[in-house]
Amino acid sequence: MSRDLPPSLGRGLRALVHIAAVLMASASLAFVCLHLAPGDAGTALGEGLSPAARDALRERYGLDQPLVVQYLKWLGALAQGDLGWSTSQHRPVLQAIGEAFGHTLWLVIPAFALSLLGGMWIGTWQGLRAGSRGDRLVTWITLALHATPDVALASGVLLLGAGVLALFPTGGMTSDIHAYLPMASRWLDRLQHLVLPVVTIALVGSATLARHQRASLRAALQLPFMAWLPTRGLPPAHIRWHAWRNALAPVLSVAGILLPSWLAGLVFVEQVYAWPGMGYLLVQAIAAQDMALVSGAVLLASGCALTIARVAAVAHAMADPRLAADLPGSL
Amino acid sequence: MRARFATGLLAGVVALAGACRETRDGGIAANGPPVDAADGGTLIVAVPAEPGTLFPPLVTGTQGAAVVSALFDRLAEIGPALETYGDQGFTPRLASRWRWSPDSLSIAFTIDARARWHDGRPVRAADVRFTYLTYVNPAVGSEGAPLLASIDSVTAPDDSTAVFWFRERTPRQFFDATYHMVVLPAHLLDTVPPARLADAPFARQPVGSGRFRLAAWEPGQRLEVVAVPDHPRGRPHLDRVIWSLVPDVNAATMKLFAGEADFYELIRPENLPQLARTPSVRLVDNPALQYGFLGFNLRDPRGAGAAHPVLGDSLVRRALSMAVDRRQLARSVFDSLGITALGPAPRALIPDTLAFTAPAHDPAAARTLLEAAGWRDGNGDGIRDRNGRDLAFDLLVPNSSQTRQRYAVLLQEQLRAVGARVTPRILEVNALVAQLDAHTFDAYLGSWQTSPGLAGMRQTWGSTGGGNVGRYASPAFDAAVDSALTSRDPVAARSHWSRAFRQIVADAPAIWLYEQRQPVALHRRVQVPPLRADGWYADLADWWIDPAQRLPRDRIGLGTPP
Repeated sequence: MSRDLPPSLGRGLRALVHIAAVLMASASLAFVCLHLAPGDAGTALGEGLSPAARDALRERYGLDQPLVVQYLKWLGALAQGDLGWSTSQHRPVLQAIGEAFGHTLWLVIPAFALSLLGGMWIGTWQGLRAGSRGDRLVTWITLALHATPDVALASGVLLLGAGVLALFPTGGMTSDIHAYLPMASRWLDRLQHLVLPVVTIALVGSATLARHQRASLRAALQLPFMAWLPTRGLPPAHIRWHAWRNALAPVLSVAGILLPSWLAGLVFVEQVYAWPGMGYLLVQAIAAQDMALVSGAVLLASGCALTIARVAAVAHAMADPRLAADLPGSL
Repeated sequence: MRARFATGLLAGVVALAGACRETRDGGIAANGPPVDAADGGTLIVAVPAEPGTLFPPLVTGTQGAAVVSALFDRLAEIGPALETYGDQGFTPRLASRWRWSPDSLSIAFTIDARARWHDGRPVRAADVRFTYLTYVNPAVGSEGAPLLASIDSVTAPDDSTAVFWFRERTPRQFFDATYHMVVLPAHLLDTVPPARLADAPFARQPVGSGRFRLAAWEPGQRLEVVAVPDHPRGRPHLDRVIWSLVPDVNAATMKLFAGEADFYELIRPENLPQLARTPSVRLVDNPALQYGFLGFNLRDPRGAGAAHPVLGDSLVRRALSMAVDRRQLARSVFDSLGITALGPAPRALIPDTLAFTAPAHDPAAARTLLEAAGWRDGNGDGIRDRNGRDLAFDLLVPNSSQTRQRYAVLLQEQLRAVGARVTPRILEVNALVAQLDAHTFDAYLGSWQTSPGLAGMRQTWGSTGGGNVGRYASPAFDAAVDSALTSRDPVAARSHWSRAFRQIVADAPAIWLYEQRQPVALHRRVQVPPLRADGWYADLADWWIDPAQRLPRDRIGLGTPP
């Protein structure tokens, strides 16, 4: 049947099926894995509660039914666009995830933009001065940032910015009296709360991207055609532009991996800065053995990863037209 | 050019920080002066987690209990001494008065005619009846249901009278009727099937009758209650209380020391030096009714009914108790913030602490007892054995408690000195609870928050108690507890309690380890009455802010956000 379809439509359909299959597989895997872990939403009520209270919760949410029955019910609801009910937050999963994802976007968009700009700028600067004292110093710094665990870096930035320097608030998306601030101050309040977590993420992102940008730019500058370009009378700036564009593909690949992982949740950063995003939500949901919420979060994370992978492929092709021919499908 | 850009960017960030700091403290418009000089102010409480629900029968944990306590009322409130006998010490809340029947098998509460729900509807006796039926309904699954077992029924002969009928005369009838329930608004809930009450919108937007009402709940961020200015019992002194979610302990303490929060409950010994250097923060004693213990499984985890091959023997358990230097453990872990526990209750609740003695630290006597029980080191590996089995057991520890993890390591060392091998197994809480509920464990480090009057002793250590996961079963202990809880003669009750404590300490189903003093950190401008042992938040409406020390956030007033 697919043989009768136009090639582009066939590729599009295949891509759609592929996306749906990956989404279902990842969400189902999360559902099953969480069931394999010891305990359930009943045990997640904590220590010191009676078995009767736990059993009542299990009965209320059908957790006393066989895994297959629970899975089929979840699947049936999902087919109707219902992500289910959060047993820990007592509200629809869609609502909980929608809120958390919005909060994560607040954090990730500026952090990603800063990382991209900062990482490319630093990496290019290093690549053009490879081997210099400045390059070696920055290489050490980026390596240290790259190697530092997120939680340690977040704690360090928090201690410096909110503790030692006392310039920024200690956490949260807004101050606790945000609603009572004059309207004009609210945006400033939001921005101020954004600074430390964004700086933390951007430090990691910039360091990661800078290292790739530097390495790929150095490699590009050593390509045979780069030695030939000056003989054609091209100005140095033009030559650097060619080298930079050639070096872009690996950087975009790394950016395409960083972004979805951040959107899925910056667990440690959100934890340290009390930022109620996807990472915080996911940790709470796993601790509470909230099957529907975990599966929903995984579904969203997979969707982000797939979407961004497609966008990265397109960006790749724009950076390197030779890759455009390999770009599958139109989706 | 680049240098100028970088400098400009840095200057912009610093200016932004400065500008925002200014607006955070100084840009708040007052919405009107407080009526009373002591009235007004904002209290910000830093908390590590938010409640999952505010539906009172299903609330577990301090955070939810604190908010529920602010929003809802009981019929009568227990006194500061937490006296549970009769109605002495209790003060009227939703009930303006009460009357005992001549046979003492019923109490008729008269609902305060002025009492209103936050939506303006009057509180009625039918609400009280509905509340009782909801708490005891198995479909609701309230943890408090077993504590209401002495109540037979609740009737509402008229709008203002709720009558509690009891199965038997006990000294705690009044306590049972008033302490374990807050009254719920039937008019908002009686159309919801009981099994769906947990998921009703009410669970996230509750309407109570307390001196505070819910203003906002921003999930994952904060929860705010504001004063009810025309409450019949008077407006609370504070304008608002905000529970601000800070999951990270270090970030929470930093928030406190930075002046962004006023109250933090989980202050740790390592924070004390910084606290001493911070003039804006002080420590307030918080006599929590909590104790920690090493609980043994007395039954074989693999076989139904059989005694545990090592820990089923009371001689072994007593020897292990004597091998532990509890005083040194408490000092090592808590510094000055912990003391040794005497038994299965904090000292403050034990009627007669001189009537029994916990096993003293005596490793030599412990070794003798173990020898007597047949445990000897036959193969010279330092671990005692009997019939080919080592004196060894696993110790479950929740990964959520640093305190208990430290205890596990120290206990391992001390018990090894008498020839017992303890293997701490640090488990995620779900895994731990699953094993405890299934009784598939050897020993665990547990902690109980007790209720006034030792009313929960049956649940925690009684042979049929749901919390008795180690399956300690002593008819003598059960009988003594039953007698103590039902005796109307305080002297006799005290004697029964002494017998119960002597019995359980002798049986050693656990090693009673510590009572943790949990002082709370509080901003100096906040003035508080003595904190009640069953919950620091009990008298929150009576907290006030010193007018001379008010911060800009204390001057917001009661108005709605601009």
